[in-house]
Amino acid sequence: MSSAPESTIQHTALWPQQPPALTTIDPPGRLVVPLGGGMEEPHAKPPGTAVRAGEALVRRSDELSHTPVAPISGTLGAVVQVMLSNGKRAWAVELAADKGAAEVSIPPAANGDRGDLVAWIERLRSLGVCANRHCSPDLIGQLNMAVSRPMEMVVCTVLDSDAGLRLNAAVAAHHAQRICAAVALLGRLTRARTAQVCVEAYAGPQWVKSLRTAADAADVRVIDLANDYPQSDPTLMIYSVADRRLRPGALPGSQGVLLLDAVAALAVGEAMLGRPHLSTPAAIHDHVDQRSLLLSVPVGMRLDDLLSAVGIGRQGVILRGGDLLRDIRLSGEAVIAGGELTLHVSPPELPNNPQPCIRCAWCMETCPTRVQPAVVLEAAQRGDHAMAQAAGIHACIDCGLCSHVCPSRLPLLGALRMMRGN
Amino acid sequence: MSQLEAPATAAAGKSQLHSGIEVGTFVSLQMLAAVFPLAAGFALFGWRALGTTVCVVASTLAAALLWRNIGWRGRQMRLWHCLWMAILVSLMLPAHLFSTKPIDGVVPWPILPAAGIMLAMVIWLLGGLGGHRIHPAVATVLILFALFEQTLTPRYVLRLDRLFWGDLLKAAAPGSVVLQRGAWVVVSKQPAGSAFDALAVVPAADKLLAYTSAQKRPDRASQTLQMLIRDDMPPLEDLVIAGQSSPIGNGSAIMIIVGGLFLLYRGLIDFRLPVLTLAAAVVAILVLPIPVVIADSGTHWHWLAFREHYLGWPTAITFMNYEILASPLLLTIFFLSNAPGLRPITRRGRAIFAVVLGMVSAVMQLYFFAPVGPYVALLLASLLTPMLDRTLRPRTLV
Repeated sequence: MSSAPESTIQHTALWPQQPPALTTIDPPGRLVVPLGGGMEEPHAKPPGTAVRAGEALVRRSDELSHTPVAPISGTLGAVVQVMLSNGKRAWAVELAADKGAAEVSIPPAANGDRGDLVAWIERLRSLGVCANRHCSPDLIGQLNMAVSRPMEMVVCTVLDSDAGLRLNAAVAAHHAQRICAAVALLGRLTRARTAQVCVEAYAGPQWVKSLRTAADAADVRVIDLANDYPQSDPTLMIYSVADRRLRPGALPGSQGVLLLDAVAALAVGEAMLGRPHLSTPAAIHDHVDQRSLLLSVPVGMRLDDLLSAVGIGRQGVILRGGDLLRDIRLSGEAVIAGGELTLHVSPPELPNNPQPCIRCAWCMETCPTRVQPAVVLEAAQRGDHAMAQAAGIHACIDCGLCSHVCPSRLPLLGALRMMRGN
Repeated sequence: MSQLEAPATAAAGKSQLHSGIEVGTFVSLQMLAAVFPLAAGFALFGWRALGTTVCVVASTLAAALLWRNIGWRGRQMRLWHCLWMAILVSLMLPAHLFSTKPIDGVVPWPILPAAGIMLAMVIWLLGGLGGHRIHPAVATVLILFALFEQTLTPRYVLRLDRLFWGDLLKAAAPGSVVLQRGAWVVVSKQPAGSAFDALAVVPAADKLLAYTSAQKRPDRASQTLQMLIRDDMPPLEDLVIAGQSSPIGNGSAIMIIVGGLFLLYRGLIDFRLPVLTLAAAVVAILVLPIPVVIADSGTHWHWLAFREHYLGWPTAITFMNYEILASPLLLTIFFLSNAPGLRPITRRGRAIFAVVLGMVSAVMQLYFFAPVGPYVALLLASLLTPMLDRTLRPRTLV
């Protein structure tokens, strides 16, 4: 049952009347598809191998979180190291496009086919479903955790950190049925007591109408949440909906909650129909020309190619992935995959010249998890890890709000990351 | 291409990642809030108040320009911080200092540049914004008070029809003109005083201190608290709105509160400090013993909260209001106690700090130094700040 707030008038002015459709980006001539895995190079198929869209790119995927599949038909190239959109590095394989070949087809799951969780995990892996970003951490890992312990609840978040980049909200508006079906399925598979979708309180009515209807039909609850940044962070989300305390970096499954965002839920919904994960929704905010774009992008597309496709200049701009304030810098060679799906293109910035700390305590008052960033900075300057622990560094969720509000422009986020060893 | 209109939210400022509010903005907003009591002071005390402020500010900046070149401490000095402190010092000084005529045998004008130079030196000694545990402005004013207590006692206020442009020192000598007692707005209109620009008024704080510290000997056989309030104290509206002799910034409680509300609105001060300090001061004033009767045979001390049968709640609350408004407590809680570096950084620490400040202010006002009691209390309370910061850490969410 949905629980709409009594008044939705005052905030709807911030929402466009209708959720925009995502624009499909044609794949370029060359993609660089992440293979996942750790330090060791995955067993990719040899260079020169012809693959069809949806076909696996590796010979063995036991050690991998998912089976990387070809987003388009083409010929494999070399295995390289690539930067993902969350700033981390991973192995990837180059894929040169060949538009003539047909897509691999997998039969959809029959209606009412419950299967068991292990079978569904294997199905999702084989279809290349992978979600590992800040607001939707390691979906396959969470499902694996659910094999050994039942989940208390499944939470699908439709909150977007940036009001100008409502990617999850737009995806949920256009694919409400599939998302709710996926959430309901995950709830059944993980034996969760409740399955719910969290939407932003005071969202535009047209943005959530279809979602509420689909949720009612699928027996999924709709929860309205105030969306003050960084509400979509797993630690804050689980604290808000389940009143549990999740350590930053830990999987939500450790607190009995399966957490995913709307885009990940859509990927699961597509997998129910047997469709492999060939493209992913993404959003770009161009701070230079002050415009936002919602796109559907082939997995493995380089940022340089993407920016060229949408007509955004690359000269001198700063690329950041994920939430803007997290300041995850990317190069043009980074690729879009299952990582962060929002990209910020910013003009060049003047060098920062911090001033001494004035002990205003704004960083502490702003921190959503009550860390003392100024004390951590002092600990970083002294190299004192015990001091950093006493200041609560273990609770830092990397939101960047401390640096955002500091009047002295101190590198608080950098100090926190340094002391955590990131 | 689907596009959303990008709202003007995160893209302000030079850096995309910063809110745009820098230290200069922080300080300028504090100074903007001080404009309210300063403007009231210029109105009530005339061009001499303006002269006092200009002298203190100019001498502070001149001294700061020199002291910035001295050692590593000088490099921590910022001119905008010195300007802010100078404005605060001028709020705490009386306007009659801007005069070449001797007052009580002392020519007062050299105190002003001395205050500015001393302030610069104190800032140099204590460190820049956020680096000090003692408020430089408070320290400067207390030193001046120790040296020139009588000269710093405010004694004049302009008549209602001579605001802004009247000469504060053009006042009748005490006893030379007989004026009927009443509110300032009424007394100002009496023709007997029309030849003068200002009224000579004994500060309410001095009258209160003389009584509560039992220093005052009664004119009659005895004096009670009710008699003090009825016969000696000015109307409360003179303290709330305007009309009492006071330091420049303390002339109108309303304007201090307006400035304080501006600081609260802009998020520059923590509401806990003013609210809890006031609450603690109120409770302390009602609980601490004060003379309810002063007679030749002796003084009868009692606390107002558990009053004698002849004392009512109206008397107790009225007396408490006089104590709060006659002293610079409001100026302290809004403009001084929230200084960075002075107040604890945790919420619980600030609550304890505020309660201690309020209680010590009450003690100082009642028994020791009514005109500067809150300043001394702030000095003492800020000694607790490092200990509160060390022991009271916030509990993290996880």
